[in-house]
Amino acid sequence: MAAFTTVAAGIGLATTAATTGMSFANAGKQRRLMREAESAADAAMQEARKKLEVNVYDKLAIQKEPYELQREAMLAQGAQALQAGVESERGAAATAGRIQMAANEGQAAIRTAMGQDLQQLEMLSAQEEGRLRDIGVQLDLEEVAGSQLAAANAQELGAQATAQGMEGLTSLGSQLASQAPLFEKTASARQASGIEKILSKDFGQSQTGISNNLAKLGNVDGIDFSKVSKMSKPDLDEFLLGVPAATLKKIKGMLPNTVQSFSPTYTPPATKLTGTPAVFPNIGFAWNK
Amino acid sequence: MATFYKYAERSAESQVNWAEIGKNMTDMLRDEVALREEKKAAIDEATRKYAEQLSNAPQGEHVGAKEEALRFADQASQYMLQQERLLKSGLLKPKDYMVARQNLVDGTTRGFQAMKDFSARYGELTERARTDKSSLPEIQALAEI
Repeated sequence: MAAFTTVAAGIGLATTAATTGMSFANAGKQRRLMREAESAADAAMQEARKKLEVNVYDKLAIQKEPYELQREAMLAQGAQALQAGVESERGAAATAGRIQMAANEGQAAIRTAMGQDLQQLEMLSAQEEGRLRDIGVQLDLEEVAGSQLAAANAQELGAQATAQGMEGLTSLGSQLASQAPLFEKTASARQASGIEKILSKDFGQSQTGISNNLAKLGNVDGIDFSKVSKMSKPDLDEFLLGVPAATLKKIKGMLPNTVQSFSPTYTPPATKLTGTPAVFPNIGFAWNK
Repeated sequence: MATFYKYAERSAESQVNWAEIGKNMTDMLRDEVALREEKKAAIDEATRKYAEQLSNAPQGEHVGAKEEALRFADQASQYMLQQERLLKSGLLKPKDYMVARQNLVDGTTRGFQAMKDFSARYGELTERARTDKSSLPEIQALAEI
């Protein structure tokens, strides 16, 4: 029953510690997600502001090309009219002026039409570009909003995870506190427990063996241990409580050399030799250390 | 650059309530300390009651029975004090202490009850002899006790 209680308490502690650790890990993850979302929101807002700073109408300018064409055509026509007047019977003087006038009017019409077309095209292009930019900005701002919501959500989840972690920590503390002994061991009690543990666990001694080993020590620091072999366990424990901790510590240090088996089932550990054998004349062999 | 465009409002739940966490932790520790004090007080109270029980060892007219009751009470008292010392110095686990103490209390109760019964019966027989109501075998049996 005691073993079950110990195991159950251990499992409870381990479970609480594990869930607490997971809660804190989750809180850390949510904080990282929140920072990433805030960073994304900031980047999206920066991008949106950058796009808003661009005025697409700045790209519009006076259309010079139609004028150039008109000028070139006017020059060509002037040359043709002059040539035609030279070659005709009426002479250049009679036709040059009229041809020149007509050519000028035609070129003016072409120039106007071309200019209007070009201007219209540029306007449409600018409008489209503006529309596309507005859509882009809207998308950026929606991204900002989404990132803000993601950051808020991550913060909330992070806070929940942190709170759960702290609850787990509180529970862990409670379990650990309940596991703590009701009465703290005195210095002599600690040493006495250590002696009994060494003799029972390390040397396989029964209660009788423990008492006999202590009795065999005789007088230590002016304290007579010879009669402890006849004591019951409570009497032995009470006797040891009255012995100074320093003396018990000394006895504990002496144990590996002084302990004797009083248990029929105890077998002392074999001494291990290390190194390789070396042969000596007239002696046989010994072990090199 | 910080921005509050489309700021997503945080609810109270999104903030870690460190005050509550600290309070829970403090309450837990305080409860644990109180619980331990209660356990220690209960142990002391049980010891006090048992010592009182021992001090009220049954009396009677039979000298030997009285001496035996006192001797029993003295030994039980010594054992009780030893248990107390071992418990409070950490050498005896509270669980083992409780088992040993319960055995001691139960044994004392039974022993004292037996002594009371004996004293009562012995008193009756003595009274019968004193008032010349006893038969000869009764008086002989009384003399052997």
